[in-house]
Amino acid sequence: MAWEYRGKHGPYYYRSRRVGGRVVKEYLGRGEAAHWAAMMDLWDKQQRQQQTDRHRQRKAEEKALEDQLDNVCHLARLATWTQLLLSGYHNHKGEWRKRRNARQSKETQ
Amino acid sequence: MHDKAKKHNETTPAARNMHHGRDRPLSQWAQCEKDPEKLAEFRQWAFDTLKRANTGDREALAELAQECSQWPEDILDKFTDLTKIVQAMIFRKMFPDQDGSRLLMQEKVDRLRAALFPAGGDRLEKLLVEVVVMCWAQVHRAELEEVRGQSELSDRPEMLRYLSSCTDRAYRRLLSAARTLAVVRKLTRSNEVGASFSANDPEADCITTVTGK
Repeated sequence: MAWEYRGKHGPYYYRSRRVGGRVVKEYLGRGEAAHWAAMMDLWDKQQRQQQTDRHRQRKAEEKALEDQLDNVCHLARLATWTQLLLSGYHNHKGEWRKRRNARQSKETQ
Repeated sequence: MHDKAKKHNETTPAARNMHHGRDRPLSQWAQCEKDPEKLAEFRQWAFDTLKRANTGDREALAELAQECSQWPEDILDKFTDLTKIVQAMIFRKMFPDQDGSRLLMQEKVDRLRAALFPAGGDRLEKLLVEVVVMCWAQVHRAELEEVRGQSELSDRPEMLRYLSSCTDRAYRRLLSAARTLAVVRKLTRSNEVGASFSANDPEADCITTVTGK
């Protein structure tokens, strides 16, 4: 959206929009209607910008919460792995198995 | 990568500790969330050590046992508290101005917790139950946000896709947490998992601490 000069004359208000991948300009003149249209377009633009900022903030908040969740899940996984490994298990392709020498030492006890 | 791993294996545990600057127990590491660099270092160390221990490296197991012996006895309780804090955050975000709804949700969560945590369960199980509850609450929240978004954000498809991906991640997290709880429960029921986080003798051969049927 812009006020544009055409030679010596102007400024004239043009409203741009994209139609089928091409930019099409709509002439609105320089009268009172053009001023109103410019104000409306500016207001719309500000609204869109505010909405984009809100969404960006929402995404950032969501990411922060997910990071916290992942941190806690990671700590829990760490504790689980530590406890199971120290208990004589090992993870074989996602499956927890008792280590062979752990079984032997148990049998000899 | 290969050379790096070789170099890593050649260094002594003490040297590795020095390298990672790990002169403090995990409880303090767990609190250093504000220092992402140190947390990343700790995670890397934990990942490497657990990986080596999983392949049967006794040195890594001893290192792990030594680390555990330095942790305070109530470390799992502290992790559990951390989980509860995140749960509270989820509830606050889910119902920012509706105390009644939040209380109802809390009640539901308490029932779920009571159903999941049996009498006589150990600290690890308690922590894992809390993680499952937390992930369950996040699934509810993500679904709620997605439904709200469908009516509010119909003109923002990229935002809808983002909310949908959040729900997917929440489900994956819940499934993973439930699977971990099931595995630990199965193993602890079949064999009393004897190693504890308060083991006082780091030199003891931790493999022989398994006491089974």
